Amino acid sequence: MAEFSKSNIIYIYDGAFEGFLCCVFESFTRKEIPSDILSQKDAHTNLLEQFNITTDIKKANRVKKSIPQKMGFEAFALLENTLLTCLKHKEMFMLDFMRLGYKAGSKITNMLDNNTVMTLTKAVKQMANEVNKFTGFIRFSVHGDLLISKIKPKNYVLRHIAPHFAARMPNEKFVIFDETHNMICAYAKGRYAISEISGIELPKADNEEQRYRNLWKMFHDTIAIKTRKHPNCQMTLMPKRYRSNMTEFQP
Amino acid sequence: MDISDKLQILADSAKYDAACTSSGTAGAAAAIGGIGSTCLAGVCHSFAADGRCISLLKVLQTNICIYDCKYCLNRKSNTKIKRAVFKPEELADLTIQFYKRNYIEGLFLSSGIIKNPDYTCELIIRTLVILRKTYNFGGYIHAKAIPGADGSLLRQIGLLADRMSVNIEMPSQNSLALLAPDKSKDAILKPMEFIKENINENMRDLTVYKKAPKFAPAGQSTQMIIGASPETDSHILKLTESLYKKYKLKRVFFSAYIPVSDNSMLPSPDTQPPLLREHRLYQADWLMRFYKFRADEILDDKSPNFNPFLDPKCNWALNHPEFFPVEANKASYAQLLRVPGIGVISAQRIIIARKHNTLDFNSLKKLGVTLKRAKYFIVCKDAPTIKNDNILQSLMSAKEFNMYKDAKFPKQLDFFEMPKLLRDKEHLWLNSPKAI
Repeated sequence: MAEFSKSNIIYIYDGAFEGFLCCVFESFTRKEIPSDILSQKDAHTNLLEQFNITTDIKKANRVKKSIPQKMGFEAFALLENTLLTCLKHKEMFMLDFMRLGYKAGSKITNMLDNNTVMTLTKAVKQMANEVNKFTGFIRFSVHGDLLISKIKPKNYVLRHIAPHFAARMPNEKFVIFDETHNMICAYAKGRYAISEISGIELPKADNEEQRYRNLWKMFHDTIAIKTRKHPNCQMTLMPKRYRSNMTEFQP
Repeated sequence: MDISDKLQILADSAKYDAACTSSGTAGAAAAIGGIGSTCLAGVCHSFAADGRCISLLKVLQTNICIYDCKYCLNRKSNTKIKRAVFKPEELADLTIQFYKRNYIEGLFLSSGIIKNPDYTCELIIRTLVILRKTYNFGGYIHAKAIPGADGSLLRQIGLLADRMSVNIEMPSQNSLALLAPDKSKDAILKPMEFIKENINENMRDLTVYKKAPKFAPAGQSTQMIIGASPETDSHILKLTESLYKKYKLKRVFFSAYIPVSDNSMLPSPDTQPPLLREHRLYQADWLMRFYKFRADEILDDKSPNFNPFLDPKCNWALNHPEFFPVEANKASYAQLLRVPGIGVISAQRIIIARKHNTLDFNSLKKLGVTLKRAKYFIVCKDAPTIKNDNILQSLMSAKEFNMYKDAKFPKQLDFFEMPKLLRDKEHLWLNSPKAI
């Protein structure tokens, strides 16, 4: 492989996986490593030169096809998931991972003592943990026949949370609003969709809903053994950032 | 009495049961027209102020009880508590409403013995039938097998629940006879055996016919109370090991005794619950289930109780200098697991990563090994970087180490000698303390 030169340019893409793959395509055709890759949302005026990359599905598919071929499905899944994490400069790590992967082949995902591979693996692990926490910590409110929930995650967890609840409550209708990224997931009749939204206003709880909230709060208080009080342990297992939308911690 | 009062009374009476896990049933989507699914690893839905996970709606069907177990809040002779009974419909409805809002993963249903064991079982069955049949509920159900109930009733519960449990209550027959005069060892072990047999039989049925109804697919568990009776840690650990072997239990839970009654046979009401002891037992239990330790390796007759300052794994490592140091690039998985500072995940990562690269301390750190502890017990590509610092201090948390330093009782004097011994570089592995 010919030498890639380090460039001062910043790539700007639409934030989607296909868009990122186009950045990879450009990086390889121009034989340069950009100084950063940013999604449009994060791109602010910058002194460095910016290169807007419009997503071209053909180019994206060429790169997409090559990943499982050259470095296996595990690497493909790792890349897809990394884009959903809150890792800083994730796109640059992903580009580096792919450059490594084209050389190393399918053993790339096992090279855990490599900095880039470990950074990706850890970021995805951390997201998986957050997904796992939220499958338990999400609280729905019942409004008529609709279940509504609001969460404040660090990572883009909706894609992983939605299938869990769709399988669990196939006959309900529900929405989950991600207030960090202003995204919403809506489910009804076996299908769900995730889209961007500016914000939602939650309806007020009716009497019935309020009654169950109170029952739950009371249960939560009662079930704790007072002589074993251990706020530190509770804090480690359920950090404060999760509590803002949890019924039992509302006044 | 309204639902709120009942819930308060019956949750309050159920809270001393330690188990609240929702694991063990392979994840399956909800049935058509139904609600609820399970996850293999279980899901924690909240944590109570005592730091324990809340996964299931843990309640009693009733706290009325015909028995008079001394250690139990719900004993017949306790006149200080209010009594209530959940109607099966009420409890099933409450479970569904909580489940829909994602408060819980399912139901944990235990009960005091009302009228007789069979009648109690029937109440439990009615609740579970409404959940499973009327609501088509696919979430997790953990139900208690009531000792002394008819086999056919226990079987029905097993076919409705994901997990069943029978509490062994006390770690020995003597303590049981003394503190739970109405229960005998046989009455507890019989249903345990019965459940095991049914699970085994069900396994065979399932291999023949995939859609055979499942009997307690998440297995069975048990619980014992620690600190209300005089058994040693070693005794408890051996009992635990034999329970895992003999009854194929999924979990054994330990519950630090919290004084609930003033009785001359029990610790006085102002004793603190033995939380550290309970913690050490869980650590040892973990070592047996995931780290391939045997009970007699962790504790023996020479040192029948846990070291309050060191966790059982570190304690074992310090007592077995002949086993160390371990070469991280060559050691087997089982050997790696014995190194303090290496856990299941980092051991697995080491196995994967060393196929491609010879590991050094730096890469071990990246793999998640706690070098602060592990560095005394492993060697790698680069030479071990053991300095004359204090091994013990590195194996304990700052808090533990300060407690240990402050400890005044004479037994700790041998502890005090250790840092000196360990400073002797050449005999680093030979001079480790023998009996801690």
